[in-house]
Amino acid sequence: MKMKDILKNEWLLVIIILVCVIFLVEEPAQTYRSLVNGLGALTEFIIILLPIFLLVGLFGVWVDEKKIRKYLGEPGIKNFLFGAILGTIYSGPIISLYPILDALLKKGARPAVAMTVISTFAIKVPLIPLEVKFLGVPFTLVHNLLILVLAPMVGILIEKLVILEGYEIETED
Amino acid sequence: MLDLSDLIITGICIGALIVSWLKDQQKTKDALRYTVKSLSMFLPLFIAIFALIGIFNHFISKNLIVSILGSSKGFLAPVYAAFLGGILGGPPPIAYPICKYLLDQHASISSAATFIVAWSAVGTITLPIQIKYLGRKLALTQWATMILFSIVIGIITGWLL
Repeated sequence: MKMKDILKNEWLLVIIILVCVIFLVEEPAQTYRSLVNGLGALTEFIIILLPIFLLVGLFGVWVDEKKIRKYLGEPGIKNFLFGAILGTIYSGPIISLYPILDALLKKGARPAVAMTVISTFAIKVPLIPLEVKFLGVPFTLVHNLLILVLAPMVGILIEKLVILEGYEIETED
Repeated sequence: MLDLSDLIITGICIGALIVSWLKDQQKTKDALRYTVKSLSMFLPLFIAIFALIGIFNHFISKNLIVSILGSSKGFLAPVYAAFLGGILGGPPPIAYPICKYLLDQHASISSAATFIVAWSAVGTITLPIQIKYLGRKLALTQWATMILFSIVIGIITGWLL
């Protein structure tokens, strides 16, 4: 049971370790050298990881999920704005987003707004410094702004598509 | 090794930490606990990813990556990147070093940008859970649209840069 849990939660890690072991057995000398090189590149980023994750932690405690959920009930274009904000600052794993979306839909949020939340999920405000560090300012800026601008359109598109398919929302009341 | 942007980020963090501590000690302690937890969760993965990139660097030729995710293939490269990122998926911080590696190997910017979006916002492995919560219609439509969305974002990003 415990082994199964480890495989389920850390499958990525398990696969990577397996790949490393296979290469070490097959080509010990070359693999050893390439591992040293790879980990050498990591040390450059280790320094920045602590402040980044500190920022993520502070975000987590100071941004109140319930409040954002409340704002999503307001009508009009504001909805999309708040949807985008929620998707952007929420940085848990994608699985934990589904129950939130479910709750939003049941509380009467438009499917388009809920889908805006998930579309902006690829933007992570607290992680932007890390993205800049790896990929540079122009890439980070262009790619995040594009997501932000296109997300509401994607949300509306998904809403239109599911309505065509005969989708109905089950509301709680 | 510490450049200016690192110093600025570290400065902002220390500032935010002090403000947070003065406003609410309990919340700040929770934040610190969360930080330690997520660091200990991510660090092994980070080490593993960098080890893997080291191995890739050595054993996989640049030509192979360029031929799959390179600019020479034009439109198909982001499509591959979308499915690769969407199927693998995982915590966003891990996508950055992978993308940097792809870019260093001369993969196209479109592919790298597509990969990040698909990696963090397309949940293929978690699709059954999504269906459970949102219903089949919404979940499947969302999944398919997100794959397309990531490709569009990638292509525009590549085009703008």
